[in-house]
Amino acid sequence: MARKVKKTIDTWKQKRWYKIIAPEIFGKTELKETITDDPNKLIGRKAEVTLADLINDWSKQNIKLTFQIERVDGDKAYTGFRSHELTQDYMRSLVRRKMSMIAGNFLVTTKDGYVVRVKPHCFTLRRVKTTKKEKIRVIMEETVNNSAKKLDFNQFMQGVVLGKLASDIYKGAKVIYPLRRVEIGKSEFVSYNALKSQPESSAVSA
Amino acid sequence: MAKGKWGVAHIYASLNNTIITITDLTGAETIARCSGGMVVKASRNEGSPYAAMQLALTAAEKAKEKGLVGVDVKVRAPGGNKSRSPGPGSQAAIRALARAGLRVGRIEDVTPTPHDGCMPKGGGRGRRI
Repeated sequence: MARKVKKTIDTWKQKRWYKIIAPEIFGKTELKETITDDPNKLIGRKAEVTLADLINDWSKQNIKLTFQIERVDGDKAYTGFRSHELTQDYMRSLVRRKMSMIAGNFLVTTKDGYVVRVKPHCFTLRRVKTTKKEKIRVIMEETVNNSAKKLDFNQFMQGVVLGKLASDIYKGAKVIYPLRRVEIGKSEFVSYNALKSQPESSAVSA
Repeated sequence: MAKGKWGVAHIYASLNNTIITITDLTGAETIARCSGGMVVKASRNEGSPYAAMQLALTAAEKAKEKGLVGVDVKVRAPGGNKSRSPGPGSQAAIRALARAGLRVGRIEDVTPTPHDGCMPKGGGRGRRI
């Protein structure tokens, strides 16, 4: 009984390591590696890192950033910013009894036409009535909108990730009720509407 | 950042089994994989801490062969409408990874939590034995 001898190809040996490079907002630092046999397969992969890894600041361990690979050059894979999120355990440590969490979910457009979804959270010192919650939420929306109008995508995301936007919201909302903490729980890149090329995009859909 | 190649160890620890998958940073490429049934004979032992230790050791060996230096750990319980806390194997598996010579970086809980999802099984009055 002669069996066909299958040639087992060691796929592992055909694979090469590629360095993942952070987007320009974060100074194009080299992140960890990914591996593949075909560089075309790399495009679209998402890598998740903490801000602590990027800027060597151990206090920033609870912020996760997600980058997506957009283009491969040699053994380097260049990425674009996709989303940022606080870790589950940190978010839970902020929520306590006898206090309120006021969450918002806003879709804003930056000055250069990037649509971003931002989800800020305010944590108050005591329990808050709904009317005050609503007022705080309005201030949150205004602050997010205003800063998005003024800044371009890179500046805006830097403000979101490094806490500038959160402190702006804190300053505005603490007039209504004393706050313990303000965090941007999550933000995601939604789409890119170039302001001048709108007829072009409609032509594609038609 | 520590030098050398790092991966991510996804540990799924339920009550009845522990599964470990070591991947690259993106999670798209599997580097090593092992589960409870690959190291013990009786299926009731698949979720035990001993099985977790053994399977983490074998997975770590495979990963080291392929050139990994360390791993970040993502622990997961069944989640959803099932148990939210990782099973007995998770602690043992993480310790075994460290003992096997892999460097362990961040440990994170990535149990999927519903923002209010389906009703858990068992009927309106709970499970009656």
